[in-house]
Amino acid sequence: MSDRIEKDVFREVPEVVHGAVEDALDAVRESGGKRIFRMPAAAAACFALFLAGGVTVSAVGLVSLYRQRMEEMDADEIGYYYDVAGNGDADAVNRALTEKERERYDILEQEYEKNGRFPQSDLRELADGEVYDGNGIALEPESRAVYLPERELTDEELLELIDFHHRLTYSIYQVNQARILNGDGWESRLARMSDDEVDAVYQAAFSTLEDVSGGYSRELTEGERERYAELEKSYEEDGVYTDVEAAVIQTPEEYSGEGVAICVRDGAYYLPEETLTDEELLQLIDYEHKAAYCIDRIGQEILMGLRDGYPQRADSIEVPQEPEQAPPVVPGQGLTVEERRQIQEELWLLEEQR
Amino acid sequence: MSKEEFCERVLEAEGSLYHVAKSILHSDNDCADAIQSGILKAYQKLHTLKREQYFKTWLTRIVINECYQLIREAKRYVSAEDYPGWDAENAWELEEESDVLAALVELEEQYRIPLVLHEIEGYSVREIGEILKLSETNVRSRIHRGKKRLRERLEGRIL
Repeated sequence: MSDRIEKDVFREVPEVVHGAVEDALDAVRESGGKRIFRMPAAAAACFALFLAGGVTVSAVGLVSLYRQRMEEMDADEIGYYYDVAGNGDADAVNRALTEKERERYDILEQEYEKNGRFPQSDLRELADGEVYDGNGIALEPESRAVYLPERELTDEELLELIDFHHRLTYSIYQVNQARILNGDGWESRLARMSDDEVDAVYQAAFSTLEDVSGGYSRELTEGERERYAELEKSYEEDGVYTDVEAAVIQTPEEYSGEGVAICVRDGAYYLPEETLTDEELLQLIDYEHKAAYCIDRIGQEILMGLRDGYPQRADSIEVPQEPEQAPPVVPGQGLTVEERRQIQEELWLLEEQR
Repeated sequence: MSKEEFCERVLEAEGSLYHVAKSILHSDNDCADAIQSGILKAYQKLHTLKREQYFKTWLTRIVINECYQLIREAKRYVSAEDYPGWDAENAWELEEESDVLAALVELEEQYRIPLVLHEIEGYSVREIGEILKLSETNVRSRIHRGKKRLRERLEGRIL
């Protein structure tokens, strides 16, 4: 019967499906890589806030209630939420929140994180085989699906949802941190960075005052891209790295044209015109991994009450007053600022999918 | 797992993912959407994959969830048993009539999906249990009943 089913029923993968697969894999290959799969949802939300210029600094004393609540979870509970988190789609819900509920959710989440406003109960779980009856809110642990009633949610129900999402995020973070700190790979090396080192990387890579930032000063050649991929694999799998870090410059004008440098003004990596050596490529790979790790770690530390907020920007850097003219072309890249912004927005949309 | 390995393993599983999605969604365009979303979400959540040897099982589960998400969003899924005048052949967009196909799509979903996973994709009972979050006993039962019902439907069509 199996042969007949296979012969008669299933053809080759149609082009529309194969095309969709290739598009997804292209996005994966072209992604910055690290932050897409390393950033828990809450840290992604924090970073989104940073991008919007709306970072809120919290009092450590009040946020510690949040930290206390999370740290009260024992190993079994963390393991349970970690397992639920791995059960599938973070957005599996029988209906979307209304606009009013979404606004209320955001307000209550701030109170949850900063003022210790917690739900009276945990999110109810459906028993094995139990079908949701439309009353209250409920979680189906096997599928991670959340069921909401048709009526408007109460504050208590919204708080239960918030609490559930935060416990998931915290559990993923704790399990990953334990694995990382106990290891000896590149992630473990970065996890041992001091707070000062993390702040320094954040300042260099993310404190830019410009709206559109990042990228390279010139495109990598095909040969450099191939060596980048090989060296990145060695970096991640074989522990190959360099002790010499990329230089940090404050403005593009400071760049000497030699070696790899990251510029605080625009968050871009400045590359020499000559072909990059393996050492220079490793500096680039190392700094990019560190940047992704540091934004992730800072976001989590803010949530845990270990930090007041993101490291302050370097105010000594003046924002350039650009005269009104045609969109500038980034030297060597062939992309206009608008094109680069569109590409970055598409990548951020991918990263924020949960 | 590096990006390249992730991409290689996704491409290896492409056919299997399509077959599974097709057993739920029927439309190739919908299958494309669900598989694409599933791949991107899998990459984002790669850090939650506990053991790499379970990658295909894990990815399949994510794609199945995406299929159901698509159904919930579109609110257009109606089971074959409930929808009057449902046409199995048109739903599968085939040019040629296939009695096996028609019988398969008429099968209840609770039997159709385990059957496809086991008989076509070669997943073990244990793996199917992990994908669908069912006990092994439950999976065996559904495969057995699915085969029996499929045979009955085929015999009814041939006769």
